[in-house]
Amino acid sequence: MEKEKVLEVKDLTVKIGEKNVLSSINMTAYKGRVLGIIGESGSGKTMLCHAIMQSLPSLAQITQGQVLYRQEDLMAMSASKLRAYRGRHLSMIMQNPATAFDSIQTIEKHFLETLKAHFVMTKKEMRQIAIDTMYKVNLPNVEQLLHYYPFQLSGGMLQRVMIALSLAIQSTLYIADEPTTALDTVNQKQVLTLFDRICSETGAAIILVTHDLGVIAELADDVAVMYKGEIIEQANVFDFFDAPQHPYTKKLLQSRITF
Amino acid sequence: MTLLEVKNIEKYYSQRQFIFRRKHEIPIIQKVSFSLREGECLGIVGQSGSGKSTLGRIILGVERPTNGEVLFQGVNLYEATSKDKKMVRRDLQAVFQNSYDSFNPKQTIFEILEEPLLNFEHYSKIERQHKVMELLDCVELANTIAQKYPAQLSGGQQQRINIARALALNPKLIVLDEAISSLDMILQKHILQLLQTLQKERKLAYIFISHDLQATHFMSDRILVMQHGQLMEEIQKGQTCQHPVSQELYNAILPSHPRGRNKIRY
Repeated sequence: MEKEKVLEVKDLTVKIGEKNVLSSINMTAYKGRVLGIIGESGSGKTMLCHAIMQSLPSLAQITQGQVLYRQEDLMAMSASKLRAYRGRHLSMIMQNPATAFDSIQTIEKHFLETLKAHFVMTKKEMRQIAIDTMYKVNLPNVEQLLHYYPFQLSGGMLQRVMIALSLAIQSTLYIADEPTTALDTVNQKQVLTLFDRICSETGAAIILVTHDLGVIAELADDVAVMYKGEIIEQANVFDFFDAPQHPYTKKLLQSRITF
Repeated sequence: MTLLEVKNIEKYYSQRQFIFRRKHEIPIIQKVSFSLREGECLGIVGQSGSGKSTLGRIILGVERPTNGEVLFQGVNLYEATSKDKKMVRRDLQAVFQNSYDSFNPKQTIFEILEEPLLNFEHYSKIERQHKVMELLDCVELANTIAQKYPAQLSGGQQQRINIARALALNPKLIVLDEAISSLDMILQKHILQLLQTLQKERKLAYIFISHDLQATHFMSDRILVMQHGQLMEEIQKGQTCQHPVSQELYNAILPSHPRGRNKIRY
């Protein structure tokens, strides 16, 4: 299978003040593949996600490098074009689903608002899309669920609603920042299976950021290891587990708890 | 010898659906009984919302159950005299998931670790200093940390301070409620091993509450599986689980190698 590049990060450096938060990051996400990024807390994983989405906090500055989405430089884009791209092409799935939703709007309103921002269609069509995508992510009693408020759903269900939202606008690149850390193990498994299905059915590229080796072992095709703002090792997932190169990677693999 | 005995615990919360409606009673824990020997590690697993943490709080004596009793070394936690209660407080300690929230942010690490000693022991100032350093050694932290504030420490260091504080009075039982869930992998393993060594050295008993069957299995001699506030199954170490609820948790364990995936794409 020929690999089609969806996102390419070239020599990206981000600074906060004088300190390098990310130093010359190079990586590529391919169509229909999952790129796993693993690293401990404080290694710059979340910063990298924000740098790709061009949503860095104002203190942080990109000092060099490029972020290319299908050969287009996201950094050179105008704000309005970028806004159209976010969501439509690139979507981000956050760690904590509870804070990503507006707690005084129903789930239905979230769908309507998102779809209205990107497509021209009637309310009826929008509602149909919402119901279809929510079925796809295995949510129960979908019609009822639309009238619920975010706080009435559990964390696992909310995370699936969030994925359904990105699915509804047919994003081509998902950036999932610790999508399962706030969930329990049973929900975690369901969400990961869902990502797997999205990847093989829609051919989207997924960048999966995590600190859990199990998540990488379950889902990723390629792995990049981050340590103190640098990518210290990049490999195919099998090579990564079989023949780790960097001492930190070896230490990481030894920390697995075996059953 | 039996250290802790939990007999027919039930807990209900009452909730109103609407301001003018009658209150509903919602069962959180239903008819839970078990006992724990000295020096044993008991794991409690279940999905979120299964009542594990409520059970943990009831065992600690901070949340009165609707029915049933908790006996710690023969003392009923909810009908004890204040003298008995003080004894229990000493031997029964806890470590919670969110490490930072259980500190007073205006106390230094030294003051945090000193506090239980001030409350229960009649040590001189120098003895206290020695004891605090000993505790820091115990959880493999440098002595220089004593002068810092909790906000200056990383999550893993904070959690180790929590464990050190729980150890300060040589307790008999520590309730670990999702104590390692917020840490990254290298630290998780490190802290689990640390807890195991401490258990052997001090003949501690643990109640290890988690949704992660793998970590619980690594730690515990015996695992109780909970769902909807009820005990579904008891798994002995080395045994395989039978009940569908435990099977579901077992199936949710992620592989340790990509070859262990359920299905491989392409």
